[in-house]
Amino acid sequence: MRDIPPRWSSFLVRYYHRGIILIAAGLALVLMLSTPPAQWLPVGAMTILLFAVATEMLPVSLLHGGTQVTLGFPIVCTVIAMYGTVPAMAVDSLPTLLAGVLLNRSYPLRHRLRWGMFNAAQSAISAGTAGIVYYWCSAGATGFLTIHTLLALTLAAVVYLMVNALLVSVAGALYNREPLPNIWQYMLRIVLPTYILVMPLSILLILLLRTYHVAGFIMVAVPFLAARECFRQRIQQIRNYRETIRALGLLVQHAHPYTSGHLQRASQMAISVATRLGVPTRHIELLPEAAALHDLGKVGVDEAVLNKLTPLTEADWQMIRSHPLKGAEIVSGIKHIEPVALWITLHHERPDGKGYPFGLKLGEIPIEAHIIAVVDAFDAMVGDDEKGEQRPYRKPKTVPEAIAELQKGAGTQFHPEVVRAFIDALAAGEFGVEHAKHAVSAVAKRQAVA
Amino acid sequence: MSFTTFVYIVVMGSVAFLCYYALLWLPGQIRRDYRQGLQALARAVEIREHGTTGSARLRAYYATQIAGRLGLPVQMIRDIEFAALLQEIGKVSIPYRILNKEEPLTDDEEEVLKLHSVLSQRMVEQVPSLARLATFIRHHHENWDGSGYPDGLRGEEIPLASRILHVVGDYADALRGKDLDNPSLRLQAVEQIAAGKGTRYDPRVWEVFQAIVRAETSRQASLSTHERYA
Repeated sequence: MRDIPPRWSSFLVRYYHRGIILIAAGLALVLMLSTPPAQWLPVGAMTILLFAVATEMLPVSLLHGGTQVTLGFPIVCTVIAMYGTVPAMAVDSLPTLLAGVLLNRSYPLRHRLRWGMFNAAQSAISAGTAGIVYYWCSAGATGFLTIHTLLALTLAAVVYLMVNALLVSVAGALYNREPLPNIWQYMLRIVLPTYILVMPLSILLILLLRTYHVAGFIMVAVPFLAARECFRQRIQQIRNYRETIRALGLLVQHAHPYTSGHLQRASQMAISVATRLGVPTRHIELLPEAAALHDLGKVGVDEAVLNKLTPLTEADWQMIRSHPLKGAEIVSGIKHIEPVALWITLHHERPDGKGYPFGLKLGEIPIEAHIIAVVDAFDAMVGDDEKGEQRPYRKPKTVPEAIAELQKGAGTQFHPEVVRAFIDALAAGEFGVEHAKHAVSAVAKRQAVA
Repeated sequence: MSFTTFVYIVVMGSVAFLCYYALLWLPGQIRRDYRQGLQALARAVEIREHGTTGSARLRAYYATQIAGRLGLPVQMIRDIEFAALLQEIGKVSIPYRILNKEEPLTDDEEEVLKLHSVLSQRMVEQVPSLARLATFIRHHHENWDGSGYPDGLRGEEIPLASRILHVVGDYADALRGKDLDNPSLRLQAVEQIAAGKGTRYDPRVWEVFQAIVRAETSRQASLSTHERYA
């Protein structure tokens, strides 16, 4: 994890992970004392623990859209139902700790231990609460696999995933400055599919473990690991696809020399601004795509017109004004990024209705199109740090000049909120120290006026 | 049937579904995604070069047909299809005025236009997952008698894929600005490039191509290119 100056209170950042570890330890202690040792130290649980360690060593990446496939979760459900809460906490947290210490060798051991313990504590709390919920719900159930226990298991699984999602997202917000996601959205998009994929497996595990003990576990582990490997490969392929399209799209636009570094920077800026404005996560994910591909339509415009030094004729203007629609036509054929086509169509619209191609007004234009407009304009104004990136028809501006230009255009050419968020992001140093210096003074001036 | 048996059946069914999803459905889906994405980017060149709308799909359709009839392996047919979509992509770096000049090109302009096969190759090379197509694309204007460009390869020296791309590329060129769904115009285009048999094109590839076109026109295929190659 990176060491970043905290956005929230430094107290929280400093003590949060210690607090989580303490809570986990306390929970484990209370549960251990409240049940006899014979119940929380069976040999079976130890075997499973070893197995879980092995699987945790192969962390599986996120599926497109974020569905997570882990073997750890069905194991935890199984252990809760078969052996109790404390073994489940151990089975969930110890492999996490081990994986944290053994992997990522590039970090110092102290660092790995500290974060390994933190992650282990998070797992332990999730498993502990799930176990408590399971035994509270299944109290009085007769028989082993009944509707009663199945319901209890389902509820425990949901609790597990919710607690885990909460802890992971708070930690991400505190330590990685990731936006705090909407928990409900997270539940629907990530937790529910994971649950549906993995729940049958944990029931299968319970059945096999009951009938064949450890041998049953191995019986199911082989096909499961194979399926998991398939998933991993498919995830990789989807990533490849997106990268391929993006890379090729960038190359196509590189035909116009000034766009080289510009598009890469623009995607980074767009994400920062969108995060500040609270744009939904799934749209933030698409913004790099939009920023990278927004000028694709310019391949359909004569570069002699784009680079013309003499005044443009009406026909020239018409051609230039056609580029957002041409870009959208190309992009609309690419799967998985459908909303991007609309933003690209509208990235030259202005709040005052003087933009093109349609002349829409403030409320009619999606915020993402405004974001693309602002970052594109800023980078086009200052984008002279690399050779060949100057636009021949205008001289590059300094950063303060560009900021002043954005502020002047706020409300007419640019969305005022977006300009504000953009300058705040600049001032926070998100696009480099040099830019931040100038932006800080702009923010100070704004506050003095207000 | 006991409740446990029921649970067993449901669970086994879910596992079977999981395997089907990961092994069969997803790969096909990803292939369709790739095809769509590459078609979209090929569209960029069609927008730049007037009168070529639909030519990338046309090339891809005939290239896969020819490759299929030549009995090439499935993976090779897919590579040829993608290469056919991308063979003209380098034209985004060729000046707009040259691509869309109404009058015949001067010799200098002709030379600039000929750069496009190398430009396409260089672009495709830079994308790791497509790099294997680069050689096919580089040689898609090599002639059977060695008079083509950029390297003047002859006969079997030219990769088979490139020989296929050459025929379909010229065919799509001959149809530039014309109605792709008009059978008589399509036949005309074939006759227009037929002189290249044995000089420009591999005779074997040409025969297969001609057989495909003949079969289509004799059937009086009324389907549009769109419907045939969806």
